[in-house]
Amino acid sequence: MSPQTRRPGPLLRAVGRLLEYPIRGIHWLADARFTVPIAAGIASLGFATTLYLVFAYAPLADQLFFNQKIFYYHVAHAFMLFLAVALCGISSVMYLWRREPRSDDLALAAAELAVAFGAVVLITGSIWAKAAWDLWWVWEKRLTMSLLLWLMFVGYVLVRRFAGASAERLAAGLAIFGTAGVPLIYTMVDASDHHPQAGSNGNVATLGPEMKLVFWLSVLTFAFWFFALLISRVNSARADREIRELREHAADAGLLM
Amino acid sequence: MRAIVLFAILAATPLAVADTGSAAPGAKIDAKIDAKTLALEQTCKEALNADPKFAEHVVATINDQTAQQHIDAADHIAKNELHVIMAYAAMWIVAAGFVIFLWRRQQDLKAEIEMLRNDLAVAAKAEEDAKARADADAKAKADADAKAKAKAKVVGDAKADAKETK
Repeated sequence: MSPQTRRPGPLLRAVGRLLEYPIRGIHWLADARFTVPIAAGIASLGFATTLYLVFAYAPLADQLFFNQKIFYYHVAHAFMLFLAVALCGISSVMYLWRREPRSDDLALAAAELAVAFGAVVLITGSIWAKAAWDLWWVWEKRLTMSLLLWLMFVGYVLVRRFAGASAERLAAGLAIFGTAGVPLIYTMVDASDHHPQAGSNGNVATLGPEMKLVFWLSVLTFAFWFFALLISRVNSARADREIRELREHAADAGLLM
Repeated sequence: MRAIVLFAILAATPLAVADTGSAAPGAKIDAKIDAKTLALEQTCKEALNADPKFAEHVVATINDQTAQQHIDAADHIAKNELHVIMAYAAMWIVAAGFVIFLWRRQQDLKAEIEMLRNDLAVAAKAEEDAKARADADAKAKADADAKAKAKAKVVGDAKADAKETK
């Protein structure tokens, strides 16, 4: 029996179905006409509200004082970076497994968002480091791992742009490799000696109630913003691919040279 | 004299700190600093031992100065708006950059669709022209055949008439 005709086992099929849900869900949202305006509208409202709450409602932190205001957007961006990387990793696995173009469209969109959100995490983190430690950069574990993760996704985007015919498969491999680093970075906060701590124990759960409210509202706002950008980019990646396919069909039919 | 000693102590403190913190680029400079520091230390020790009240005054002055430095640093952190503004501005600049990137991609797609539409229109026109030309050729050929047949018929009829007349 050839590998193409071999039927996967029940466990593998269940994993495949589970991994396909986010891809199907995002494409379903991308098909809906008003998804992007609605998500962007909610995000705009959220930006206005959270900006007000960050500066007028949330109290000053014990040790970091006013500098801690960076935390509300910096960590929210880090969460979106992890989400983008996870989506890119799942889509890449599914693309390598089933070779469905829609998985590849989502992987590309998520990778570009990972680069954008990762850039914000690194820049705002660096500014926060300057404010808290008087240093722009420290080669501590979490910062170095975050930089490596970001560089990996910059590599993904460059591979997609310049690697030619097999770019999708090469980039998918790179994305899976990069996704494996996310749990390491997330758990690195305990191992990190220098990273600024969100709460008293370096845990978001230990923030005061006002701070926690503002923080989770920021995360929600950026989640809407993230999905507005993601769906918009998925749509353009899909349109790009469809135009390419149309050209190929037209060339095959002898309509175009 | 006391003022000079106090000044010397305060001046020697950052000097000693700077000296221990540096990586010592030249041994000669270090030796000079060490000699100067040692001399100052000796002068200070003598002055402090000579008058315990003066020693208390020096300690109090240094404590006050250190406390003020801490207050200033805390105040700077508490009111540090510059870095917060920089961080928020960076976030908005990157967000705006990504939106502009998306918008440009959208424009490129529109241009691509327009180009494809034009290419398809040109291809359809060329095909139509080719078809029309083929139709015209076929018609011309049919006309020529009909004419030839008619001519042949006329010639045949004329020959038949001539035979009958004979």
